[in-house]
Amino acid sequence: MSFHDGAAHFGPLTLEADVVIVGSGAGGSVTAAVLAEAGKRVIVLEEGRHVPQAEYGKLTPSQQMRAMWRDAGLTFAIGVGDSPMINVMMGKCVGGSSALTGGVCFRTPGHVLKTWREERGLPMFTEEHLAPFFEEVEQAVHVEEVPAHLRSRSTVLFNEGATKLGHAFKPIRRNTHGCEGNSKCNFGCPKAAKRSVDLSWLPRATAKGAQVWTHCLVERVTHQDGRANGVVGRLLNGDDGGPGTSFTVYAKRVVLAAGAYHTPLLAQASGLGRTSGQVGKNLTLHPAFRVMARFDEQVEGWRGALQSMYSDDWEHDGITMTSMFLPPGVLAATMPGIGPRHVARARQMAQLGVFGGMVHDEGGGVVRRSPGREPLVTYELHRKDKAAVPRLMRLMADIWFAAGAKEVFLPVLGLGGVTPDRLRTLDLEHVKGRDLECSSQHPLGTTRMGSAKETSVVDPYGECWELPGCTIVDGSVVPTSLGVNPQLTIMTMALRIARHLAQA
Amino acid sequence: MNRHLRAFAEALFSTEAGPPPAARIDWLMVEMDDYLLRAGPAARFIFGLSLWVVTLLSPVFIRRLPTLASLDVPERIDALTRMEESFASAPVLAVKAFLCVVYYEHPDVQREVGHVGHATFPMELKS
Repeated sequence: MSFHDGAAHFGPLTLEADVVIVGSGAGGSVTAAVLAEAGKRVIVLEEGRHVPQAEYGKLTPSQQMRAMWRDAGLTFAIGVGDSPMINVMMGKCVGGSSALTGGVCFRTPGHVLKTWREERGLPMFTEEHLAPFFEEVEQAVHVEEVPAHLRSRSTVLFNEGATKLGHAFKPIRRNTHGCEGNSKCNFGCPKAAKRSVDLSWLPRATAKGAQVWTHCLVERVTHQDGRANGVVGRLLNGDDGGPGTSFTVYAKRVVLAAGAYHTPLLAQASGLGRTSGQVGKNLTLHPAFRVMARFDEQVEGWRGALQSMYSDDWEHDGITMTSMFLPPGVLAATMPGIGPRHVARARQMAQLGVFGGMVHDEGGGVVRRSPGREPLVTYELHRKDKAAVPRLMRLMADIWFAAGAKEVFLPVLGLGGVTPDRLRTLDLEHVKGRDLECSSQHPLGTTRMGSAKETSVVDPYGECWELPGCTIVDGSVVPTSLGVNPQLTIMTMALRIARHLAQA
Repeated sequence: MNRHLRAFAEALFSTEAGPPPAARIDWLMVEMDDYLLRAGPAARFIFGLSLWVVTLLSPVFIRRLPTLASLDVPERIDALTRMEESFASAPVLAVKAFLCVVYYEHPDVQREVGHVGHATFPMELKS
């Protein structure tokens, strides 16, 4: 049997493997597959539960958030200075955030790789060097372009507005196979069409004998004679699913893949980061903002692919726009009013279009240990990033009005519907950060990769400078913000590292 | 907390015909309990604090004394509306967002708002 539930195990637990991997998301699952196929005995430890696709495909959005998202979707980065509170969404389940993404796949942009080479001392990160890894990942998770017929009416309208204003939008690529356009990618694809790692890479690992243990909270990496030799933690078999009995896994290689919030916590708890002082720092989030629009027609934006088009026309301004949609409860939550006024607005949700924009951030956050199990995370929006937000809102509002929208709803708390006339008079440039409605699905960079132990946490193959035998393979090693959805970059970097480990 | 949350929900989802059916609010309260159980301590604290502030402060906006639950539904709507439009809107918006995310998944509500996307409710979550 490949899956074991730590919550159902009684008493202490001791295991042994060649490789123990902490986290079963994009980085962990790719690494597990490659190393298991190379003949290594692999154990994957996951803090969350295993919700099989057949089960999560039937859940409503809020149920899925409760079952598979960290903190039921209520994880935040606290804004510092003139910055918003940011809702950061992350998976806590087998498959990690991969099971919760819209499936959008971008290769790492060339200009980002150039920054890595020229400013982060990573000359090996060329498009040519990474191409075979990208190709292998794209084949494994079936990356394909979203066909035009799967575009939602919301996306079609936004594209029409953009075309009228001379802006170019392009089809998005996603890791899907057989998508029927249920618009539910973020909440568990009901048709198993999204090839998240729990359906693609992890089965390859378990087919070769990898063991997956769920409900295992890893507390620190152990080491002997200066080399990592395993992990210790608690099974979540205590009262109310809390930490209970202890477990130990002995392994020749420890791989951390717990994500950009929790990998640095583990590293800190294991005594790492003293040389560089960089563990937990340099958090980037791609702060994201949605702009909604009300039309006279029935848009029914939930019919079609959740995400199907994007534009990088404003990359020089640090803005990427991508199509999206929201579940009805989230749509309704943004509707102004209480009582009959609110309900009347909510009943117009079939007339709403939604589009999203994210900022290629230069700002940064810090992940710190807190008294509880979760970190204390702060984030400060850089002045340049803050300046991009009103531009993003105006651009998207103008596009919606060009498409025929009657009013738009900007991500400003308490603002209500905005007509074209009102948009012209709004002082969006001086909206306070705390009044912005902001979310993120892309935490990155908190144990960043680099060429020197004084300025980075891991070397170019993900090995911790300060602890040989301990490798990091998740989004926390990404050296800078990407400006695009990161899952393909994370899987590709993990594949490159795992191949290196398999040959070692 | 349940009494105050219920008072908020009855006002928020009222139509011209009055509050939603009691059974629907009962269902919402059960779901909210489950949601809060699964949210982390920080989220529970923020939610509880927001509800507490709304419960005590919103009646002041219509020159009444706390608590929100002690007001009749039209007064609650008035109080919450005024608070939502004020400088102190954040706690109202926080509680409202939380309630909406769950409430609009009820099959009857989905029909009312014309959303036929992916309602498969009710289904019991495994622990």
